[in-house]
Amino acid sequence: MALTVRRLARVVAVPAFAAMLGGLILMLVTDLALDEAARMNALPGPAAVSVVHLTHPAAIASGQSAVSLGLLALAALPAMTVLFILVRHLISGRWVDAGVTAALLAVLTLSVLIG
Amino acid sequence: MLWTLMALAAVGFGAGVLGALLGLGGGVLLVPALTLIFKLPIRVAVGVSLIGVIATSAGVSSVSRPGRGADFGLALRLEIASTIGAILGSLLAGYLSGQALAILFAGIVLATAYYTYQKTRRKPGPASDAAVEALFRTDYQPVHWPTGLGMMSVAGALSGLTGTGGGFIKVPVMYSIMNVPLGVATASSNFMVGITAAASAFVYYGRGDVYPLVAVPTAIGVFLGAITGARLASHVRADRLRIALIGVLILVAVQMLWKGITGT
Repeated sequence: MALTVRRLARVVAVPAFAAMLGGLILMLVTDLALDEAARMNALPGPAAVSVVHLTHPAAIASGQSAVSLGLLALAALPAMTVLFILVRHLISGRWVDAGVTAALLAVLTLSVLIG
Repeated sequence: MLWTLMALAAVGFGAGVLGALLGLGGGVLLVPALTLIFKLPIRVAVGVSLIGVIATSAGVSSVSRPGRGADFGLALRLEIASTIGAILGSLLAGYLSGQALAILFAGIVLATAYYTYQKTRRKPGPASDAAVEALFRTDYQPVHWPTGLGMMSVAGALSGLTGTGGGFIKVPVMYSIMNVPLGVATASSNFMVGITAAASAFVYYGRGDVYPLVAVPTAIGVFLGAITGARLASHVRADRLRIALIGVLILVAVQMLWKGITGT
């Protein structure tokens, strides 16, 4: 199990960081091109795009969608790990452990819905 | 702006290295750095720190054998309480003032300094197979479940409020109260903190308290720092680092307390 969890971390984290970095570069370039440097000059800058606006053309073009998707993917990695453990428990027939893991996954899902 | 982003990445890298070396989690270092050096609102810093804790967990997991010695059954059960606490803490953070959060954070930093001091006092045992085996023995039965679950929910709430991982509560509770061997408690806590932070991170994200311009360079720095720290762990005398860190933590606690009291 340990080896596969490590692989899961790499599989999810690397694209997530690539999306974040690529999106950030696009944000900087786009703002320079549109002469909106004032928006990006002061920290903390614009907030991450909400889930419902991820597909907005302006958000995609400015790189904010890519950055926000990368952040969401990274934040979802622990939940994916829990899901992976749940599947392993189900395959192994460890029903009590599977029930506990499912309960944890339900709470994590609740945090996503609240957010 | 480019220099600022590089500075954020450098701060994240340092927090990641120290977090991986000392088993602290970078949040206790990251939040003060972001508020005191970059003058960011503490709620923004907490949101960034939660992403950083997840990045630390991902970084360490990607290079080492994750969960070595961890009791997954115990961790998952305790993590239910911790995650519920994290959600509640994150929601509460939206109603507290920046000053209140700063004062609370100062208390967390002092508690972390005390926990780190306790670790330095523990005499390193002989590096024999028997000693290691004792740290990770499996013939134990966790006790005091109600207390353990209660304390885990407190750790989760504090994580949601301050952007820390909560390990400085989880490890002592598992070890001192629930009869879990120290090595198992530490490994289980390392597994748990990322999940706790993730629960809080989504609440902060939904509230609009995650800012990519700050979070991305910091998270990248933390991720690379955690990988570096994990690789350095076997070559560095962590006990000497801990002594230096205690002084830094006390200084940080004083500054955060001052910030909370004066509102500057």
